[in-house]
Order: sequence, then C-alpha cells, then structure tokens
Amino acid sequence: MTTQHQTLSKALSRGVSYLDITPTMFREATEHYRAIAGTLQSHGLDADIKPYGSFGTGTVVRPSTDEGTGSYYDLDILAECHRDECGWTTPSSLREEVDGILEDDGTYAKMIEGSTHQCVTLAYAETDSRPAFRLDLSSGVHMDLPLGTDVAFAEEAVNLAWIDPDEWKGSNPKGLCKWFNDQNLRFRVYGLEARRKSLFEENPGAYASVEEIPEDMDRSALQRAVQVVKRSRDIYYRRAREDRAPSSCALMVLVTRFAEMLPQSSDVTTIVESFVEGCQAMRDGRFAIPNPAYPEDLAANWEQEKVDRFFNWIDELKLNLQADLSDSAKRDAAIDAILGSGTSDRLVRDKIFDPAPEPVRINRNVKPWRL
Amino acid sequence: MQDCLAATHALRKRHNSLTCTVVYIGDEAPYARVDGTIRLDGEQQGVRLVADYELSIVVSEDFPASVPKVRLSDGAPATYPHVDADGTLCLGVNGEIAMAMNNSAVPLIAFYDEVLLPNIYAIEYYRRYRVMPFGDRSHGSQGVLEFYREFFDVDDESAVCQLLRAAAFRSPYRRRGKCPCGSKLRATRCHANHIDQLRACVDKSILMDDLALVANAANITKTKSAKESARLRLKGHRKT
Ligand SMILES: [Zn+2]
Repeated sequence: MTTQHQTLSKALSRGVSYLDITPTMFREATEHYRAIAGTLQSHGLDADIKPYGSFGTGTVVRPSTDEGTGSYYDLDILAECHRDECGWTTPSSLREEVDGILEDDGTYAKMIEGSTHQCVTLAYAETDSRPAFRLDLSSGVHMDLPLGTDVAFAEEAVNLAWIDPDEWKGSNPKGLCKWFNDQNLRFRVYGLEARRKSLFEENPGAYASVEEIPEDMDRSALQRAVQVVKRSRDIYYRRAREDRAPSSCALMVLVTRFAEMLPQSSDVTTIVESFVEGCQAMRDGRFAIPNPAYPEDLAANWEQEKVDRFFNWIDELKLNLQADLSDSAKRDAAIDAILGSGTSDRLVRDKIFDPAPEPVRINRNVKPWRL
Repeated sequence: MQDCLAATHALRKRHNSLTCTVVYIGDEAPYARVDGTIRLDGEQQGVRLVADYELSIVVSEDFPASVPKVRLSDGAPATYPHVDADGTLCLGVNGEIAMAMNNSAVPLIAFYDEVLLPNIYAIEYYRRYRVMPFGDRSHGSQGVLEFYREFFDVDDESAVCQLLRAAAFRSPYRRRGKCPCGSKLRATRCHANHIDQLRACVDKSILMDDLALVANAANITKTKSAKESARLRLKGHRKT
C-alpha cells in the first residue's frame, strides 16, 4: 500500500468527520423521536418510530449549503402506525391524524416547520452544545409484499402515507437500513478498538474515557466512504449549478454493493475507489440501481441528462482521488473539491497536512468572447 | 520587435517554467513566442483549482497595440465554447483585454495575470463542472456591445456608438463640450474619463474594429425592434 493511499484515507476520514452529527445531537435527536412516539401514544395512536436513511445508518453529513451557520442537519424518522381492524382508509386520514396530534400539542405546534407531500418537519433550534437540526417525520402502515418477493427484510416493508395528491407509496426504509447495517457489520468489527481510541484522542474533553463513547458514534470505513461519496456529490452538483443529483439512498446502495467483494480490512480510499470503478463500469449498458430491500429501481426515473451528469461527477471524483498529494496545492484543491472548501485548512490546523502555498485570487475582469 | 521581445523576457523572468523562442516565418511580420507550462493555482468564491497547462503565447511585432494569441498544447475541453477556428483561445473582447493590459507598466505580465489566468481558471472550471464559473459574453457583435454597455454604464446602443466613435476619432469631441452620450451634461462631468481611458489604453485599430461590431449589433437590435413595433402596429390596426 502506498503512502499516497494511506494519506488520502486519513484525510478523507478525518475531513468527513468534521461534517458528521455530534454525539450531543445524536442523543437529543434520539430522545426527541422517542418523545414523539410517546405523544402519539397518549392520543391513542400506536406507532413505532425509528430513524432511517442517513440517521439510521450512521452516514449523516452536514448539508453543503451550510457555510457555518443558518442551516440544518436533516434527520429522517418513520412512524409505523398500527391499528387493528381496518386501519386507515386513505393516506390523508393517517397523515391528518399524525399531523393533527402534533399541531394540537403545546410543544410540537410551534416546532412544525411545514408539512409536505411526504412528511411533516419539526425544527430544533441551535443550542450552545449542538447545531440546529430537523426531524422529517414520515408516516406509514405495514404492508405485506407478495410471497416470494426476493428482497432483504421484506417483512419490514411499509406503505407510506403521502398527501396532496393522496398516495400509498410502497417502500422499505427500515429494511434498507437493516440491509446496510448487516453489510456494515464486518467493516465495523474490523479495527473497532483502534477507531474508538483515536476518536477519544481527536475529541479531547468530549468523553471521560474510551468506554464512554457510544457505539452509535463509531464509523466504519464503509460508513465513512458513504459519507465521503454523499459529500462529494453535494459539492460537485453545487459547483456545477445542477440540481438533478442522485439521491443519498441510491449512493448508499451503490457504495455498499461495490464494497461487497472487498476485504473487511479495506480503508476509505479503497471503498470509494471501488465505488468509482464500479460506476464507471455501468457506463455502457442499461442504467439501474435495484433497491436491495424493495422490488424497485432507484434510478427508474433518471432521464439521460441526469445519467450523463452522474458519470461526469464520477469522472471528476476519480480525478480528485488521483491527485498528486505530494503537491500540496493540488492536494488541497482535491480534498476541498471532494469535501468542500475549508476542509484542507482545517486538516492543516489539525496537523494532518502541512500548509500549502496560498492560491492567487482570480478576478473576473475579462469574460471569454468570440466573434 | 524590441518591445515584443522585452515583454516576453519580462514574463519569462517571473515564470521560469516558460521558455522563449523568437520565430520568423517567411516574409510575414516577425513575432516572439513563449512556450511552456504554467501553473494555475487560483481561487474564486471559495473554489480553488490547481492544474498545469502547457501552452504557447504568441506576441506579434506591434504589441502592445495588438492582443497576444494563446494556444493550449492539449487543446481546450471538448465542448468548451470559446476557441477560435484557428485553435487559439477566445480570451475576451479586444478592447477589454487591451484596457486590462495597458493599465500596467508591463503589459504582457498584466495580460498574463488579468486576462490569461482567469481564462485558464474558467477552462479548468469548465473541464470539471461543464459550466462557466463567471459567465461569458454573447458570441459575435452582441458580446462586444455588452462589454461597452457595462464599461460606459449606458444602456442605449446609439449612445454607446457615439462614445466609442469619440474615442476612436479624435476630432468631433471636446472635453468641455456636451458629452457624446446625449446626456446634455458636459463631457468632463459625464464620460470624459471613460473616453480618455480608452484612448490611452486601446490602440486605434482595435477601437475601430470594436466600433464596427458595436454599430452592427446596434443596427441588428434596431431592425429587430422596428420590425417588432411594425408588427404591433399591424396587430393594433387589425383590432380596430
Ligand atoms: Zn456621457
């Protein structure tokens, strides 16, 4: 293994850790969604609330619009509602019940930021100990997939209640989390103690001892790789001023799929590289991203331009992974292109990188023109 | 010839990755050529781009009255829209470039810093993200009109023409007289400084070329709007 490879892994893991959810936020968000379940219960609505998406897989990254303040971490939670007999006849009757309980509640009424087609959003303002975050609460009921449907955790499938227009949307967010966490297990056990030790050392004062670090705050190389890929997507699509970006869910599936054949000792660089190579191999042929936990193609509605942009991003990511790290200017530009500007400065402050020369400020004096 | 050689030597002194060759082609005007690799390490709005570009800069005998030509050894990115038919880069409106160069004591260095480097940054940005980082001008005469509109801060095309004419031809304009833009103000209180700056920095031949293009663009707009109003009049007639 080359030094370049190791340096890159270290920079990517550390750099993306700056964007992760904090232990305080994780604890508070968990308390909050449990409290919501309690409130629903006290109004006679029996619901299990579970995190899903990045919150359920430990792959949260700060939104890229965030240049320090004023933006939110978005955390997804799902209320799986139970009722004997006939349940709810329409999606909107379920959503009205959930939204209604929260709207009538003294605590939640003032936190509701909005209700959309898919979910109701509760906002938690910034405090001294953590940044602001939002809980996007989706509601649904259990659904039985046809017998013999060949997907992972089929028993976790739900019908999500969407409103305006009313729609039961078959899905399996919790099953997908379980699938990921299963796949992640072998990466998690590898080097766990060493990671916990360095997490302890990198966050002086955050934990009293290594033993105090909650399991949920540990991040395997696979989780870090998913975070790196998602962040790279955010930065690329923002710089390209293009909003047809691939979903986090689709990326999580691709990264995990292409890591299946890798040894459990693989580091972040290896996993991200295998994602890039795997995607590049998809260039010729039909483009599809099967959901491992639900019979659907996550890329079903991608138009050609979206597919082309996707490959353009993959090429750009590859270019950055291959940057010559011994050239400190190229190194900083590549790391910032993947993780966002300011990341390399922080790596310098944390003594992971040596300082690079200052770039020239580009004035926009002259604009290209031709006859 | 001395000017153009001195300019290339000054540039090479600052960037030692560049080499300097003087080339004569047949009976054509002699020119100096600078070849080499330049390093782009630029940042704009938080986006840092670093890349090495191999290129050649051709400076002709009448420099700095003319604008240098630049060619990338590996060519520009496939769909990059600002390359001329002869393969040289379209760096900007000539008057705009001349002004950026000649505001400085060492025009070729100003050309490098103010014109070439931002263009290389734009090319690298485009190569990665398929979009121009700080916009570009419309192709053809419309783009020239855009620049002079911004420069004079005047919207009306015929006013832009009159101001450019005043800069290109010395005779019909007096600083203490009415401003050519039609504002009825004295030029000294209006566009005199703009006109002086153009006269000082931009060669007459470039001004004449740009004037022709601006007049052409203004004419196109006028014809369009005349047609439009004729069409509207016709519509109005039909209604009544
Ligand atoms: Zn005026």
